[in-house]
Amino acid sequence: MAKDNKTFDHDQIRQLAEILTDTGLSEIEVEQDGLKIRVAREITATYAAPVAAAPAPAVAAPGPAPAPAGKSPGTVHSPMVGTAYMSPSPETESFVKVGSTVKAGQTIMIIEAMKTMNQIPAPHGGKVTSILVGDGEPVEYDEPLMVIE
Amino acid sequence: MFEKVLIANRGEIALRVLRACRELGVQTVAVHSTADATAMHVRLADESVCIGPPSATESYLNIPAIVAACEITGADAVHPGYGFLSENARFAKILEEHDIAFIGPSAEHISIMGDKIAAKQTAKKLGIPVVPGSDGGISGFEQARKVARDVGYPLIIKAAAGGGGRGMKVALSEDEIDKALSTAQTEAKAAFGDDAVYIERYLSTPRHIEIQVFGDGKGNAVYLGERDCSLQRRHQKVWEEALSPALNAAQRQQIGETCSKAMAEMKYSGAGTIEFLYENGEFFFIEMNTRLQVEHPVTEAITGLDLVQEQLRVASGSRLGFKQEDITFNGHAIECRINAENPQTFVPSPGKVVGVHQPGGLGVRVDSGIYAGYSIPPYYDSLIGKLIVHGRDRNECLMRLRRALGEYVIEGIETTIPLFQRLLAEPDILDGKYDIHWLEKFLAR
Repeated sequence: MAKDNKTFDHDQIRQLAEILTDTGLSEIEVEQDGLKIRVAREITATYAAPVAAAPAPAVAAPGPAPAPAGKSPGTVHSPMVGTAYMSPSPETESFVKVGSTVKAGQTIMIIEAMKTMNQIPAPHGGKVTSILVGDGEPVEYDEPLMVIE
Repeated sequence: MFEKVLIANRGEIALRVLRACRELGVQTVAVHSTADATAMHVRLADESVCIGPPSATESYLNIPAIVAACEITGADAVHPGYGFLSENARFAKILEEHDIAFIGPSAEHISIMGDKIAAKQTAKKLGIPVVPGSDGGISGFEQARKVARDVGYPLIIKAAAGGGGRGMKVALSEDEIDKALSTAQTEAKAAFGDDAVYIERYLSTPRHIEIQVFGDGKGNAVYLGERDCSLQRRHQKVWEEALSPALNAAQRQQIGETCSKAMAEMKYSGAGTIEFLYENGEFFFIEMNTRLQVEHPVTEAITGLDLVQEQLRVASGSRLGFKQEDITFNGHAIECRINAENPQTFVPSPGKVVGVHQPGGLGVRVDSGIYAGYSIPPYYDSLIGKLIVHGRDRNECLMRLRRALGEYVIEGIETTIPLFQRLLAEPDILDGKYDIHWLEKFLAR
């Protein structure tokens, strides 16, 4: 393998990957001094699971939604279809964070559908151990939203 | 053409719609209840959205959930399939208000034909022959008896908000009419939320013959031939044929033209079926279904047309892709509805399909979403597939059907496949000599 003057900067690749996740972009390509790096990820709509028969394009890594949380007894499942918002308005703080303590009935997020904002109450009290959906993401019925233990 | 179609249905028809969309290069969104997460069409769709728990009211009939699913996926059209919301004018209206196309006729036409009394009056105005009966609803016993004397016995009392074979009571003579009327009203209220009823002459040995029509909403309409759906159990069709063994070419053309002219005058858009009772050379309008029907594949088989693709084209603003003179009827087709039921008792048989071998070969089509390992959910109707066979004539079709049924294997659940094998041994079936009471009599033997 030919060795270039530049070697692969693993930190740079990691930084690019982080930028991808933070911004929700699907692909970044940078070129500097003859060295080109492209970091890409397959976007799956987080509400789809089309692991299909032959002709479907390969649906790769599920993206940011971590899978196993659905099994935990403290998982809060979505009661409706819509778009999730984590704070009352774009300028204000989110309803809850990881580590927050919530009471049963307390609003943990908003799901918007057909221009109506629906406040989602915590079905039980406890501590928020993980938040599984991001602000502005679509959610489907029964989808795991967060874990309150 | 639409960019993305949301399929608001389940089972075999959802897969049917998906196939048409895929061939047209249209993106598909499958909405489903939690019970249908492993359905084949959900697996094949480009995107899927779970819209509710198993209950149909909370999922496939849940308008807000379905509209929300359109919003989050950016679907620009909804295909409602058959049943569920396919003839719900309110749903069509709501979609229109949200700038989403409803693949079907206008909300107004759905309403008119959904009210069976208004439908009959409209049909009459458009020159379609109707069953003699009360001109409108019946409110009391006196009125009922008077109408009955004009119409003649035997007669049948039907729910105005009914349809699909439900909410009907027969009165054979004047002694029976009071009881039949009050029972019909009570049952109509319970089943459809509306106790309005009307009266019609009861035909004793009619055939059920329906005409497939298609309009583009701009005043152009065609007829695509008839289907004979006389073989019914409890008013549910079980076996359908195109063309009807009972009609000749002249009759076919006459009733077809009557229907297409009526649809052109109405400026009807999309697929529709006008259902008749046929007896002694006469046609009597019973109802119109403003949607695609379960048995549409037999019409596709003899015309060579993809009716779902045509629905998509017309709904997205195109003219009809064909004129009446372009339509030809080739050969004969029969469809058998395969239900997950015991073939003698008809007790439902949900559960896991352990193995499947579907028949194939020339002239054989299977519309079904089941596969080995699939569990049939107990929450919905028992139709799991349709076997459609085409031949150059009715005899070849019957031979092919016998061959195809013989190789159709579904293991792990009970199905009605053996029923069709029994029917193929009956001379009346082979001769095409049956009416709408034939199957009930056969099953009662």
